[in-house]
Amino acid sequence: MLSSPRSATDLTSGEAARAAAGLRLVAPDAAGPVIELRGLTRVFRKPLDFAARAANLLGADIREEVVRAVDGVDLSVQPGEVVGLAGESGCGKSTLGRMVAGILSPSAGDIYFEGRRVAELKGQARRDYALAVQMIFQDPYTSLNPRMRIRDIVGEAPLVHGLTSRAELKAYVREMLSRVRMDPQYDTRYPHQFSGGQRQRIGIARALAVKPKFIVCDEAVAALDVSIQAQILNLFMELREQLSLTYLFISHDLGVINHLADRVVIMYLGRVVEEAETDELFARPNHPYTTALLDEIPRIETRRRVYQGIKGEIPSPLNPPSGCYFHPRCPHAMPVCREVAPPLKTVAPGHRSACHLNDRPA
Amino acid sequence: MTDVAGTHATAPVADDAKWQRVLRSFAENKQAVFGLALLVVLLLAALLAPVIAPQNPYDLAQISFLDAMMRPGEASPGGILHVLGTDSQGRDLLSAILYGLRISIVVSASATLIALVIGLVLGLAAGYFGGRFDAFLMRLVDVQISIPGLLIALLLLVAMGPGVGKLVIAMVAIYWAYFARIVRGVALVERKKEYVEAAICLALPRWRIVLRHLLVNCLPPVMVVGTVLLARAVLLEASLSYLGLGVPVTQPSLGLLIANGFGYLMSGEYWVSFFPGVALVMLIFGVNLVGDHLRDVLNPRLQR
Ligand SMILES: Nc1ncnc2c1ncn2[C@@H]1O[C@H](COP(=O)(O)OP(=O)(O)OP(=O)(O)O)[C@@H](O)[C@H]1O
Ligand code: SF4
Ligand SMILES: [Mg+2]
Repeated sequence: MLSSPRSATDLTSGEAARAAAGLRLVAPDAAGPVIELRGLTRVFRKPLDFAARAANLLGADIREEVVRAVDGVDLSVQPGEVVGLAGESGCGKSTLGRMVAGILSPSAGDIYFEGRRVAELKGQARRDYALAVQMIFQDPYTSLNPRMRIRDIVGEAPLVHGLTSRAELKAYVREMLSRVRMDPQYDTRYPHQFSGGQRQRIGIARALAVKPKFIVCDEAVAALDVSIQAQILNLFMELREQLSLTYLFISHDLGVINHLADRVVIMYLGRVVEEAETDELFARPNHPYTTALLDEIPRIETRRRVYQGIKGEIPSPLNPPSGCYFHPRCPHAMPVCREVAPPLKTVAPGHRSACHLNDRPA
Repeated sequence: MTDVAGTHATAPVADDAKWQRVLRSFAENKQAVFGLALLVVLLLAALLAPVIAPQNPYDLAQISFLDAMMRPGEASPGGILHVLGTDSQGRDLLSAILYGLRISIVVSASATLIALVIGLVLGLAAGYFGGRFDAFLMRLVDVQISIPGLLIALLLLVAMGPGVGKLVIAMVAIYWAYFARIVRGVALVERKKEYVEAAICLALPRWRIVLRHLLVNCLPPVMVVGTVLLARAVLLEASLSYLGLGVPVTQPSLGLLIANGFGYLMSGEYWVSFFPGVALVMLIFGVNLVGDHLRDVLNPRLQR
């Protein structure tokens, strides 16, 4: 890093220079989080169609459908960390992941990449961020363009962005394929010639080809057979070691998250309800929702049956309950829960939870 | 088709399995082979018309009124054997049909192709970018499709006057809407697939995503619709020419030939109308057979 020659006589100006440099450097440096989310929010609106507007003219009261898919999420991810993101279907995990990966734009709030506000990035810096954060998708059958050969699927982006040359492309792609433990000779084939697990490897190779630092895995193994799941999860962990990657690992499978994540974030209807180191969260869950989820972790053989049995329906995100979103289903709900949304509070070092139970005098 | 659940660990299928499959299933289907053969023969005949036609029907020096209305099989004093007879102006009918086939094919194919390109561009843009442009375009398409094509063409041709170029323009004005609608629908579906999100995530330029990712995946349904519309275009061209609004009298297409002979149909001189009619039916039949099979082969539900 910066090694500026300093002399004793030059101390003050040297310090000033370092302070100034520090101001700029503190953020992109390894010390800060790779990704930081502040109040990140995404609202989906379904505008009224012609029929609805006509009906409204005649006195009907049809409102625009508004879903706050992600609602004011704060989160920071340190370099090298694996953060697990869990929650029931529809709670906004994918929406959050897509915003982080730059596929969806936030409605409000900010994403900071290596300390810099993504919304302000332009040109080269913007591109660097876009490439540094990659995503692995859930469905290995729709995530690869069926009409492109593997070498084009993997090689297109690095070629477009000048990470390799046309002459070296073949070798580059083959290297990426060996990284994900695929036979490099497959590079001229089409996606339909591969199995689900292999396709997922190709998707990983495609992401690795642009040298990412941060990878969002959105249910990346959920569509695979259990035996294949383990292989892909191991691949993720190998790559993390080799390439010092950071992951946001989205899964509704708490077993997988327990196995993989350093830290776990639990979401409910677009909000973070609890966040802690993995061991802490599994040993001492604080939020009643987390407790309910943990009770539901199925045995290996029934892994696919997740979350059944939390009492009550998931409320519609179109029309969330008042106060604590979980109160209609919470066994500990109190009058205050219906009125006031509980903020996230630190309940132990590194452990935050959003529940009014923590406000009661012990 | 292939590898449905992704159960095999390695799936050593040959590289171009898909096209081999298309060809093989084509070869296995007798109707498709017949239709394709028919089309190839007609295309060759149209292409080679100047070589194989006994006479150049556009060259007035070769045509004599004295040869008018000869029966099929008669030979003129000039020595030409009129296999399909001659028409009221003394043109050799086989020659006129070969040249007419040419015009019919060129007019309807170019109109379909231009409409396809326009529809593809507009449909892709509407499907990918959505918004007001999409809404506007789709209203336009709805209106356009709800008016009978023949009516639109008639109005346009009456306004613009006759001529091969104007005929093509009128037909493009009808058919672009069908292409735009189908492409837009497919693009809407494809755009939501994860491979497009992956392309966005890889910061690929937009035009590249639209052209290299979306476009190729929209082509199969476009090809199917293309053959259907091509058959319709052949018919429409014939109808317009029959009505005298299409090609000029000196360069008759199949439709105009049919019209020319129509008056004699009831007086026993059937051939003047009948043989061009047979050629028209064969052309449409061939296109439809191939199109039908293409639809089966390219059915997206059987794909991948
Ligand atoms: N493009 C969209 N348009 C409108 N609503 C959307 C869109 N994408 C997501 N939503 C809504 O936002 C909410 C969160 O969806 P999201 O896909 O992020 O949930 P999820 O936690 O990933 O669920 P799952 O576990 O089923 O994948 C849902 O109510 C969903 O209906
Ligand atoms: S705030 Fe109230 S309703 Fe919400 S989880 Fe805590 S106890 Fe249950
Ligand atoms: Mg999801």
